[in-house]
Amino acid sequence: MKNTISRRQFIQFAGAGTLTYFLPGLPGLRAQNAATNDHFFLQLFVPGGFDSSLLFDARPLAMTQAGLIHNYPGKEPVKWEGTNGQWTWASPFAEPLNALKNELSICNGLLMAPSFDGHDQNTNYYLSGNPFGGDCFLPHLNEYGTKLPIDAALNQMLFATIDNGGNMVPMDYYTLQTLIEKLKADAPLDMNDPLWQFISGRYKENAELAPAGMFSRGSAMMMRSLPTAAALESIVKQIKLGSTTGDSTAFLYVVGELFKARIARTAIFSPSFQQQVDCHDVNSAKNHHLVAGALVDYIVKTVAFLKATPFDGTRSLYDVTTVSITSEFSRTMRQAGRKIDDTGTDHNNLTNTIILCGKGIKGGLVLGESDFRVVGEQLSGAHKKRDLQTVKSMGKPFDFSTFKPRADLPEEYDYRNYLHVHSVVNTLYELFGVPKTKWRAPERDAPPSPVLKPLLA
Amino acid sequence: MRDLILPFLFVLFGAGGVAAQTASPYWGYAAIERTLNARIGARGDSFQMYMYVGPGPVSLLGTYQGGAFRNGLPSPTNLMLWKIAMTGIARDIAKTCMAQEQERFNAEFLAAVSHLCRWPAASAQTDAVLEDLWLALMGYSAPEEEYLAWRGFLKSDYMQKLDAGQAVTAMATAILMNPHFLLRK
Repeated sequence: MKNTISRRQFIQFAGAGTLTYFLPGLPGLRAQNAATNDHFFLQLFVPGGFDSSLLFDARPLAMTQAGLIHNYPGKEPVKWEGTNGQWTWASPFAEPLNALKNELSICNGLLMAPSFDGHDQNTNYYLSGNPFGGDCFLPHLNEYGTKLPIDAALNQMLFATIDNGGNMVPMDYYTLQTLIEKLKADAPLDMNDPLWQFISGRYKENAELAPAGMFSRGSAMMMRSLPTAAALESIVKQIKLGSTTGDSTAFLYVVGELFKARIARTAIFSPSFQQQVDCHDVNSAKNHHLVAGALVDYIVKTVAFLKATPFDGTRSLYDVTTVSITSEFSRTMRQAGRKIDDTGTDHNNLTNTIILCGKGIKGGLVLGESDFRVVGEQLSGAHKKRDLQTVKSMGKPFDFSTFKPRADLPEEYDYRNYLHVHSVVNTLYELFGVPKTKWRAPERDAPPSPVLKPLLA
Repeated sequence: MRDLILPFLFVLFGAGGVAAQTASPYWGYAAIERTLNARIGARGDSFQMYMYVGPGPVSLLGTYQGGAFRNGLPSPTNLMLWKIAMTGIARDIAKTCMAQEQERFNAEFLAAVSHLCRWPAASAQTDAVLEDLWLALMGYSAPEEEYLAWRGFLKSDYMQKLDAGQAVTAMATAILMNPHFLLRK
């Protein structure tokens, strides 16, 4: 009854055998050696809409004094200069990230869903490219190499409508702990056991009954999944979560184990905060800097964990993992009609910040820029038409040949002028070998949003 | 408390794609719970999948969320979870032979299983006894060929060497993991 499939055997099996079924039409990729495909993705996602002005898209105090943007901590930001000649204002709360300055690249002024400012729509927009949902990009990162059993491990809910989430698995610390305990208590799914051979045989027989029929296809999927399920079970059982308590970063241990075991290709870590992230009310807005501080702490801990955790004999988890940190949108600079020291902030889908680091990412860059950076700044017609109360910053027009923000002020919005979040996702697609047919475009019939080539290490 | 909260904490993810339109998905965990509770349960809530796989992964067994059936296509992950659930239920069935867990099963089902508790005695292997267990669990969801294949497996050397607890667990697992039990048609 003992399951003797080793981790190495599983990888070889999953890579060279089972994938025959997972990747029809891609024979050249099926036999790719798993070791050459050790590339993982960790998304640190802050649900609720994090205010970029409290980290890497800050504004000088002079703007607060002019009544344009809140700054409850009352601290002057500092220049954060990229090695590419671009810079941004960084709030003092980003100071602990100075040690990582050469590794982090900051993408600012990213336009989110053009016509929707809801949480769900913009979460959908980032994950699927559509405000109403669709295929999430994370499973795509697991499609064009050695396919791993789990597309994405999640630590908590995301308000998103995802069509391709069959292998996006809720797997927080307690869930994995429970699963390991249950698997250990259970007899192994041993494909040499006559019981499972019989069950597999029923799948096969029903698969062959009417191969074009839906039931037979479902049986065929069960038949093909069973050996991988057995191997997956064997690996999950071997995971040692140790005595790590269920603290806020315990999910990182889960991610580390799932990546090391080559069970999951990606993960979404949505950290929890003691303060309300979605700070429409004044009190929450006044405490939003505490969210910024906690987020920075999460970033520092995440990178430190990845660097300190060996992936194999020669590489750390950081060496094999691309990391993205973002929220569904940024926030308004203030609320119209409120005093600057008594204002909450609302949703701002006209700009967002994504921080990238890890495998394949050239660090130390600042790309993109939002407007409304100084008192008296003239805003474009395109901005004013999308921000009637003039309470938002908006991504500036972007030159995709030089990868620098432009100084012109377009009268009308034209997607070709702006840096969309899709460019970041397409850059990730490029990193993971996702073909251009999957790449995102900002509008129907538009070409894919350009890859941010400077980001590619 | 966590058990109550976690089922609500997971994404409305679905299995989508071309395959979703061309292959039968699972019935889903809620439908399977209803089937089990109706066929063998003492009450309407005797069998709940989260008790076997944990509250988090239960939605991966297929469920209606966001106006669509999600996570229903067979995959290695959900098959691993179905295996945990179904072998767990099969073991609970076998425990009734030792007067355990009996309060969760209805009287008719307990009567059907009681004959099998004498396995491998000949009296536990009559067609009538085997058919009772098959129909109690599978109902008329599968064609006769499936029953005959299952009965043939029970006559195998492997099954004949098992004690009653092992045998009941194996024969129930074989039914509960059958595609005719788990998949829609």
